[in-house]
Amino acid sequence: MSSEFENLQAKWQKQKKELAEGPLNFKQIQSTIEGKAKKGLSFHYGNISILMVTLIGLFLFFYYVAPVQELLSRIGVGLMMMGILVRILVEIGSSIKANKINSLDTALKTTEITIDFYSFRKKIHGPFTHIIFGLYIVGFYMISPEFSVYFTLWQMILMDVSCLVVLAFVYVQMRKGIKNEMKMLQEIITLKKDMIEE
Amino acid sequence: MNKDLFESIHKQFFTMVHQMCLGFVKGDRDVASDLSQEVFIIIWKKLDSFREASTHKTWIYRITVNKCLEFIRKEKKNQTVPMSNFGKELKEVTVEEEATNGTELYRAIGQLKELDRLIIMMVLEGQNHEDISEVIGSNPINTRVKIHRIKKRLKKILENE
Repeated sequence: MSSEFENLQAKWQKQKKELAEGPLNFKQIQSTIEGKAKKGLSFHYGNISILMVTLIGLFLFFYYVAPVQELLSRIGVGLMMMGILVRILVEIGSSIKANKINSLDTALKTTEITIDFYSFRKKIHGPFTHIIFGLYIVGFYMISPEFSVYFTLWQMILMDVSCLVVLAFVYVQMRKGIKNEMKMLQEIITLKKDMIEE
Repeated sequence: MNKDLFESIHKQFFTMVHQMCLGFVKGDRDVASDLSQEVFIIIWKKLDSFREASTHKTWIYRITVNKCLEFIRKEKKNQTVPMSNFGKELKEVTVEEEATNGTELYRAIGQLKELDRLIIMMVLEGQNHEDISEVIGSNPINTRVKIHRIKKRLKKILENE
């Protein structure tokens, strides 16, 4: 097997030589790398920004456009905003964990930290997703009685049903994402087992 | 940032990284180019933090291995191409082309498990089991046994092709 492997090694080296013969414009490569290195913002920061804008938008809407007067409605608005705030906190926690994943560590350590990250996501996904959706739905329907003073019955039905449809769609999408992440967690655990197996 | 050092590292290790990425993605040149570029973005960002606790080669291997494994995770998350088919979508190549561009060898390596692909490519590159265990973070004895098993598996794959 040794000589067969040496043949393979020679083939590998020959191919390496052929690869090295390709044209390389270092100046161009360097400027591409430099540009991309500056752009590299994580997925979590994008999520946090979107959620922050949504929270601010919601606040401005209920402050300037539709300032609700009744206590029940005000609590409702508070609950809706709290739901988004909880989600922002969860994303901040996630990004702190994600930032610990360092490509300079050994593959085993990186894998362990990645497992820790996905395990954290697993822990928060279950209860927090339901809490967030619960807060949002309850909050929304608490505003409904005051809104019904200004809107017709059909407008109210349309608003309430469309809210449910949108939330159901978001919920299904989120569940898909969670399912994907949990599958990934299992695969990373298997990868770690592969790394340490005797 | 020491630009001269980066240039010298790029010159010295680009082909090594690129070939490893090629083998990992079963010979898909476009994906391998993107992947090697990502490796060099990390090198660019982190070069100042290199502390000479290991050689540049080991340091770059760590980044390459981690980036390749991360790439697989990203691909699975995006699910654009089922990973079981990944690499099968390669453009049709003639026998002559295949002989020169090494797709056959990369495809064979691509049939191994993800971690095994990375390990065997380091072996093909001439790294010993201790260097490899420094990159992976596993026990050197386990690594030696693992390398033996992977070599056998690769031989079987090549025989069946």
